[in-house]
Amino acid sequence: MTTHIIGHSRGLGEYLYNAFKLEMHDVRGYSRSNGYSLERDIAKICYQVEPDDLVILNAYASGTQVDYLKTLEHSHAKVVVMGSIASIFPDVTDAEYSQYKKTLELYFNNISAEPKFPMLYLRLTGSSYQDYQLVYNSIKFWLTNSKITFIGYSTL
Amino acid sequence: MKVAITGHTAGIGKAFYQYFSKKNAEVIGMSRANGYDLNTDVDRIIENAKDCDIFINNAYRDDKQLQLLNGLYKHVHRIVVCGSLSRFYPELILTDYVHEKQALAERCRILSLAPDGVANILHLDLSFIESTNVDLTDPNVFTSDNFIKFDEIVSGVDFWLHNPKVRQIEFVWKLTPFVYNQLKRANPDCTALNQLWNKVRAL
Repeated sequence: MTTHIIGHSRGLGEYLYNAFKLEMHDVRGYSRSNGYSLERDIAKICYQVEPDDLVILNAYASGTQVDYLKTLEHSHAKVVVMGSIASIFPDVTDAEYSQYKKTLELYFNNISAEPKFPMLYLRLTGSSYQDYQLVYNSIKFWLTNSKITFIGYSTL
Repeated sequence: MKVAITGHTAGIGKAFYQYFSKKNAEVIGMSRANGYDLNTDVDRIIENAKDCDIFINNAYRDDKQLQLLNGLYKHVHRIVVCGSLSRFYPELILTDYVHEKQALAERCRILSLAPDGVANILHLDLSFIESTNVDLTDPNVFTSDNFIKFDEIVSGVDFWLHNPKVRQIEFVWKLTPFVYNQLKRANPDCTALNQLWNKVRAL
């Protein structure tokens, strides 16, 4: 099983990349830093995903997470989507981001009602408050209990 | 550790009771079987659960889960609220149950913003759970592997106990023939349910 991390060069993505690497996982990261345009290379990136791989849709990537989800629909991979608390407590300083995350969550809810592959939605809090180890723990937990589709976190 | 559980004699309540008993917690079950009736004894349940470390708000009866949550969130350190995924699909289940579960989830969301001194609340969005009176080996009855098993729910609570920043866990559901028939029986005239069923069958 290969772990694919969309947006792996900093922050949470970097943490997850290193954590899975430490576990001797075959990990592939996709970021501008290694030549990928996350907005334009969706098909190219998803083409590398094999059945039973783990895909972590981490980067916001100008609101393309939904496009990744649609492209992966028939991949038979396990998919983790990084959502945001902005979907239920909108960030008034960034309405576009909040609206996008709301749309992403609604889309996820719709497809998770009749899932074609194992999916997990993580509703993250602000990046400066997010506990990266907790996110990693959540993904590891979900890999042992795939009937869970959603985990939300404290805003405090 | 002292834990109180409503509806501890059957189903997921019983599974929680066994789980905490194995952890050597002092577990107080609150069910009709031992004299706690949610219809009439909400105040007494609140009074007797106030000094607990964990309260499992499991049993459903009208808006009583909300009353228990409101009565205990300032007293108990940690609360598990057994909600329902049906809150996302009010058009499929045309009953007060859905509205009460929606209100319960909204209260949990608001309380998640509350300052210190308020319980750490885990809201579980449960779907179709294995039942003690259903034969899981009978293909005529049990047609889906998407029923949630007790130990899968208990493992979610165990994860929260070790990762206290978790606030909400949702479980998968799938509209199988068995689930469709269950919903149809409860809502024989529901057009939205038939539309969804036809859509799923066409996939």
